[in-house]
Amino acid sequence: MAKRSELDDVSAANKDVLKRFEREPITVSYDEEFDIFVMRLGDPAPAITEEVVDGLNLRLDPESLRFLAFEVLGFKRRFLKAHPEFCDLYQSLFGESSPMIRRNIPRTSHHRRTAQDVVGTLFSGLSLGSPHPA
Amino acid sequence: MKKQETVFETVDRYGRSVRFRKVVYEKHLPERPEMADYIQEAACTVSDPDSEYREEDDADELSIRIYYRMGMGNDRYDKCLLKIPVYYDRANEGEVATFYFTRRVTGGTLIWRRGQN
Repeated sequence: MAKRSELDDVSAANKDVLKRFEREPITVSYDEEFDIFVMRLGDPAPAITEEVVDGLNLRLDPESLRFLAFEVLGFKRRFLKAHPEFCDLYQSLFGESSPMIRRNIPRTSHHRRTAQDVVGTLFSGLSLGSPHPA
Repeated sequence: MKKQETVFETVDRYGRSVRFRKVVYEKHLPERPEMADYIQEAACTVSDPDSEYREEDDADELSIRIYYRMGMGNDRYDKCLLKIPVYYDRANEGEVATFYFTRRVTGGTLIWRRGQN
């Protein structure tokens, strides 16, 4: 488990993340082959990737550490079991559809609120894991 | 494994074949525009990593290894690790699932680190 101080820079850079989920475009995608889910704010941009908990990554601007996206490795295999609140959003967006589909979440959609809640939950329990030498 | 076009094929420390299929690369690149210039570095990280980790809850049909290497990035990534999850099938052939730069090693069980036997 990370020391809280290791998360401070990311937390400090993202105090407005929930407001951004109200106004910025949201895109979600799912790669069925590798079981990877991505939810992105705004357009794709260069990033560093920080693992928050096992398999759950934040994509952050390399300089400002502003949140760009989160992605989940082992999404169906692990994440949905641990976060059942996410099931409805996933199923309504993708259903049983084919691999690697992208969907935009319209500004007026109730899914946007769900997405905001998910990210709020993630940030409230933010933990980046213990650094150790590679 | 069915033959498909790849962006690289290499072998890991144990001599197992690992490939990065072009279709996988092309579908992830839009989300990771920063990785377009790091194909060679990705292959190098798989074949000659600084460290290797095993994912904790491997599914029965998959074995997942995470490879890390420092010093593969330029400019804003020069202090980052290149991280590559590789999924191995029952035939012990590996596929790159994704690749990215990160600031720290997280999760998994250390299998090997450079300097260890």
